[in-house]
Amino acid sequence: MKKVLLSCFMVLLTTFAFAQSQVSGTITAAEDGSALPGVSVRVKGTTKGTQTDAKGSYSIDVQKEDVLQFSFIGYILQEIKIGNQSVMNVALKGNAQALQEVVVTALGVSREKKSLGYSVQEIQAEKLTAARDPNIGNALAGKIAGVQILGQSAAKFGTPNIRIRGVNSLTGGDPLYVVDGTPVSSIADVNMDDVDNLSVLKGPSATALYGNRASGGVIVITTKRAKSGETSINFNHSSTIDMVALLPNYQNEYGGGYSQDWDTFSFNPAIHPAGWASFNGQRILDYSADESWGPKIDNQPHRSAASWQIGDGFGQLTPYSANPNNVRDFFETPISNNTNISIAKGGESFQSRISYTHIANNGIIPNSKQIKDFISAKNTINFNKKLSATLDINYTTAQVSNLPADNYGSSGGTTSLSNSNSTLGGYNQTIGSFNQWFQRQLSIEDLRNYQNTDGTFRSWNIGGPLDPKPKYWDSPYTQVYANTNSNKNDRVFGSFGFQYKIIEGLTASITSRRDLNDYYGEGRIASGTLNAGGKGAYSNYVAKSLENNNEFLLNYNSNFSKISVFANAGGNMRYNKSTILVQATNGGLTTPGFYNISASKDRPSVNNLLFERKVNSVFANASIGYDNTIFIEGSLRNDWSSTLPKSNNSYFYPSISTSIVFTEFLPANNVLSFGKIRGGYAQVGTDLGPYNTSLTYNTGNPYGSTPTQFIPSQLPNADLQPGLTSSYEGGIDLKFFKNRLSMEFTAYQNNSKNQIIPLAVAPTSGYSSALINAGLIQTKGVELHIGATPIIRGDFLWEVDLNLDRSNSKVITLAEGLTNYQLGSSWRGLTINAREGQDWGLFVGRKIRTLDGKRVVDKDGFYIYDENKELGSVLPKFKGGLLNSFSYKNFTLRANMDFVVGGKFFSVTKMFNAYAGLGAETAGLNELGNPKRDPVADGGGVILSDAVTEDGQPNTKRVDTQILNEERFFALHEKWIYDQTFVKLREVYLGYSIPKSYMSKLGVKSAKIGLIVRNPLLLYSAVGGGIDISEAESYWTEGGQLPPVRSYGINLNLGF
Amino acid sequence: MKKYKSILLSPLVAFLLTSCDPGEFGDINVNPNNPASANTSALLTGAQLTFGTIATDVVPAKYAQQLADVTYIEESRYKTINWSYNGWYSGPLNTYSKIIETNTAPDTKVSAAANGSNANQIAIARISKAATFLWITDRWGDIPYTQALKGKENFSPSFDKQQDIYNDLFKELREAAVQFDGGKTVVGDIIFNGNAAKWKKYANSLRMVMALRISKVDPAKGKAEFTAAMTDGVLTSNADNVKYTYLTELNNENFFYNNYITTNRKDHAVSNKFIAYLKATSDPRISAMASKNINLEYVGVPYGVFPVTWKSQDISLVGSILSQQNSPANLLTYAQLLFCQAEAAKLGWITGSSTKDLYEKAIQASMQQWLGSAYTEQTFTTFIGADNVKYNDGKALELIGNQKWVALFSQGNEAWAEWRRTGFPVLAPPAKTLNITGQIPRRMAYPTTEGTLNKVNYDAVITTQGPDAQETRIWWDKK
Repeated sequence: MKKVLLSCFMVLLTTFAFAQSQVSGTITAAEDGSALPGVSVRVKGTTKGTQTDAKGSYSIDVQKEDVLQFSFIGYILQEIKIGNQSVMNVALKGNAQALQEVVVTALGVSREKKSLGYSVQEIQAEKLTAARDPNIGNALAGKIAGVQILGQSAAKFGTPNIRIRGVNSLTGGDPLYVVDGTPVSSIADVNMDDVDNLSVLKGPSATALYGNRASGGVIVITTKRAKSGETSINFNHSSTIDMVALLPNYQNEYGGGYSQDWDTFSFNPAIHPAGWASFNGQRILDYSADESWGPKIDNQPHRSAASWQIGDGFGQLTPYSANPNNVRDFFETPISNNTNISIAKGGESFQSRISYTHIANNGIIPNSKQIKDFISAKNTINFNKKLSATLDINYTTAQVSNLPADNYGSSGGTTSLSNSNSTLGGYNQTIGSFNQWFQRQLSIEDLRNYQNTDGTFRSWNIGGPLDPKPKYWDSPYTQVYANTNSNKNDRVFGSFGFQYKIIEGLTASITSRRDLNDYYGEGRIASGTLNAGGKGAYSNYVAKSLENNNEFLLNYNSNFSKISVFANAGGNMRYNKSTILVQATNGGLTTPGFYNISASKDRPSVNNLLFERKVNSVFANASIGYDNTIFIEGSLRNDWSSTLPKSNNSYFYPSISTSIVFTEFLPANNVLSFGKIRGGYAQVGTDLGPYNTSLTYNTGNPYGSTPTQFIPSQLPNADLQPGLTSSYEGGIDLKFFKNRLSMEFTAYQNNSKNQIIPLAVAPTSGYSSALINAGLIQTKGVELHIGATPIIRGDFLWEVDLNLDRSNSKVITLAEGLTNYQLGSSWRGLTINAREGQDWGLFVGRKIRTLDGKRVVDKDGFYIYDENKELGSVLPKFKGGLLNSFSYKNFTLRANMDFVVGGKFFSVTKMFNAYAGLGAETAGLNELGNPKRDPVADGGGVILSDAVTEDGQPNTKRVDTQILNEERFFALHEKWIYDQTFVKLREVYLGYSIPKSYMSKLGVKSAKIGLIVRNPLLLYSAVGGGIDISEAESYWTEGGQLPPVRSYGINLNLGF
Repeated sequence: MKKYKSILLSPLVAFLLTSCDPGEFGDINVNPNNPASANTSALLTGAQLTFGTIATDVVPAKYAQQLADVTYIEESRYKTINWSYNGWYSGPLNTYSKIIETNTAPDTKVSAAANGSNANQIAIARISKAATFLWITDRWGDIPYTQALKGKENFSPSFDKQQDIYNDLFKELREAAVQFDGGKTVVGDIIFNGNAAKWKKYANSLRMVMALRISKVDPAKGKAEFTAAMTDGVLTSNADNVKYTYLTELNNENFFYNNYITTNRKDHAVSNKFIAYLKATSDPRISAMASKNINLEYVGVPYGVFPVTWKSQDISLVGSILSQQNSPANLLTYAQLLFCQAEAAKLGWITGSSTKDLYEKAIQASMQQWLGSAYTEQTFTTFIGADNVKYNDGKALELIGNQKWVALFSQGNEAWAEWRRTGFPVLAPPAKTLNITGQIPRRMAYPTTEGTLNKVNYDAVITTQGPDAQETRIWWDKK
């Protein structure tokens, strides 16, 4: 305090005591030479200062002896002694560490981080987009402490699920995405090249102002806008070559069949054409088998399935040989392109930025691709000193052809659409064959010809020589070329608003925001292929959704001597509407190849749906700071939700937080340069989806012309209360060695009460689930972010970011009389549960019996298992990411890793790799050196050597390999539950900034060229065997994943 | 400047005005996609679709060794221990309750009567519900009954003893049969098209089947109920057979057609044990019950043998009269009831016809049922004179049991129940089963959800009924 008083006094003195002179100049960004408006220019040791104007210019009265400090968010502070200079132009250098100083908080407000009583972590575009991942969600992996990316294979062009601070509700939940203040329902439709920075508001303290939809946290994205004085054109292009990164380890010793014995063709003149007599005695496989327990591969002649189908190969004997790369050869190595051009110009009264991106993503699965176009315009008009207006428009289109399916089986046409049907996915299922049901010896070349000249379809999996109809599987090429699907999504989002400066420090704004989406999808099943009874099918799906937010906000920002005040208050009216029209043919297509609902053989099914909801809100927030040292902040919010029962539809919740910069009280030192402690308490309420408070009846398919109606299996509830999460959060932020090392640590506890969940109840009650307000879920966690600049030496700079977090959710109580909430179920009674007194995400299923810690086998040598046993939780012990960035002169190298330690998952791929005899572990030699698949009597088979007999003796019983894998291991849940633990090198970027001297002649201000690699290496994976759990379809099961995609590419970035 | 102020402030004022009651949303949360009121005829049709499942469930037919697995040799080796009845409660049973409730409650019964008189609708719902409960209790034993279907009033229903359930089902079927009031015919009934006389016969016939089911555990009650059912009137010809009708449309096609043709899987075929028995007795019904394989022969699929060494083309699928797209499935047959009567005569429960006459009449009815126009007196007389078929009073129960097993082909649930009760035919489990006991299941274990969602009651029923295992005998399955 004394120091401050003293300096004030000094200012007064100097003002009077010394003669003045003026210094002026322009401040630019060293990076690209653009003018920097708003840079703070201060005389060191005084409060005297000014800011640069829209053109980056400033002028200030100084003394010769003064030192000027130039500081700006995201740039390294520069100090220059004035001497005799009257013009001082400065190029400020960017500094990623310094970026942490100011963050974007709720409602898009930039706040000094030290004033915040809660954790907010921000990431700048250059770190986010290092490897030009087209999806912001994927690019976030490992970059923010406490954020988990549940990704999917890039072969699906999909968007990951994102979890912030673990499980915030019984059922988990995606965060709210807010782009320039506008809630957007899909992060995939936000242009990565438009992102300026991304800020993650993790807990209720930070998200209180977003209210009831923010219970899963908020991701606030601020996009690039033109700066005053800026004139720039930027061109950013990357091309990648994409390839399959990882496949399971297959066996290549045995081919298709259920038995190793060869069958031979036996000519029967009563049923076979006379010409087939010469085939008598030829070796034939069991073509109807979609497993690989067949004969040992011996390179001797045999009749393949293809040789029984009409065409050139008919009647041919071919060697029965291995094709180890058959699956790998199916995948393509396409080139994908991502091109952005943006143009920005700004003056004092008008700033505008227009951007266009075109992405052509060609899939590794043949005939699959995604085309995306992003167009955006961000405009600001400063009409006068008081009034300004903004108009932000983003238009994104995405067109997908033949989205590949994953998951289990041939009908894995999974879509995330509500009220979908299997035809929409188009049965584009190939990996479900390769990794679950396949004949290992098949040559992929033989399958490429998937259709005969007469229009019938060929398959490797047929009934037999006389029955060429596909049995369980079409050719994978039929799936990708004949059973097609497509969809197109158009999204427009943005806002339109006015800001009016009522008095200095008090601004009113009114903004209208919209997120409008239009989706069309269709799926086709060709007549004559396996599914839809071979009769063909067609379905289409039209969905339109709209969200409007009309918002009024008053902002007040002022300083009274040592007191700083930041406050806002406002209201929001939200309206959501979505309509769905889904139609499908029934019973086949009347005209093969004519894909239209009117071609339906039976009465087509048609369903049209409308969903609407409204939420009205008022809120207020105030932060008061004392002497830039102690801050206290509080907020209030009330929401009214149309989806809640009328009597309970209003709910109120507050938050309060504080932060203290304690280093202000400590003597200045060279070690601890900054220290802050913070703490807060907040509540956030939640509602539910529309139409869940009263019972309505579902209409089913008619029986002939007789209509059907069904009672839903979920019981609605007219007495629901809003859910309420209370959160405590505390933390400490420290910076050492002149900010070379910084650390932020946060601990939190969320108590989620009255969660509205569909609780599974005993279905003998008449309902399998009931909507209720459920007890208490407690999530506790810690987060740590460490930023360091270990080396700055000359031109060499090394920066490190480490994120670590641990979060653990426990079910404290559920509802009266109920102790278990089932979150999901899988094969043969495996369930995942939230169980009272246990960690969330508890697997319950078949567990191998143990005796003194050792597994137990029965008298035949197979594991004994018990049903309904606890098998561990999905929650990781901890997870995080490590980002390394090196720069030397014009070179930059970034390498981003992420990791998860602990937590369980269930692998369907592993289970069927074993079941169908596809996996390497099902073949090879046993400990006696004999083939595992030989009969036990001949020294084949295996011993479950980790087990003991029921009376505790070592197990020496040899068991048949096929019976073990196909039968005993199938749905033996514990066997297929693995640790999620993995360490993944996700992105590598090597860039080179071409020196300006070479480029300026071409009119180029900046030029960078880079090499990028996405998904280069799964450094460690506990499950092993070609499974990448970081790309599973759900948080708890790898249900038959598509292989991960690796991309190598180049990136060219030019600024004009 | 004032101008701007008013531009800015007017939306604010508008906001505040419209926000006077920010919690007033009108009818926005009324579901426009589904009706809020029940249409009892459509509900009835929807619920009765499950009679198709009752009629065609292949699992008990595999336990009774009439059918066997073709490729995935699981149920003929008794792999699945826990079976779920959950969908029956949250599906048809809850719906029948809702139909009864809607036709009872003063505020809904008047409009519901548009779909048939309240009494008629209630009667059909009660019989359908009783038939469904009977099917469930015969498989699982003690089940939630009196506390079941109460919605939010009881999310953890306790289990009732099978004996109590049987007693109540006798009462329900008896009462429901006399509840028809001659009023408006029920709309939406896809079993009997609202025909009250047929429903009465069906209800009485179910009582007859139930009465015989308790022949060992409570013969006195069985005899009384049997004669009462007979007096009230049961099926009297094949024309009375109760069938579930499939349609020539994908959504309502025959179960076997779906498995054989639509999905091309061919998972279920006639077992070699059943084919062997038909061949041993030169049973002409083989041509109706089974299809020929690719070599135009009747070859049963080896029962419970693994790994498989055959393909679906090599073995006999079920006959084409059972597997056309619209082939009906049998729920209850005249022949079945004649076999019941033959046994009742043997037990001395009924008089009037001899056991022999009833036995032969039953076989005749079955042959007429299966062979249709191909039936001749000649084939019948030849067959009933054959070894192992010819009536022998000393082996009457075994002969009845064996021939009933044949007649109940496609009524696997009945065949399995009768095998459990009578021990006929004598069936041996396969050499290697997947259950621990190695024996043919005597019940289905409860769905695993009972252990997780209804643990207290689940633990209680285990202490009274016995372990939740396949080998535990249910109440009427007395040694």
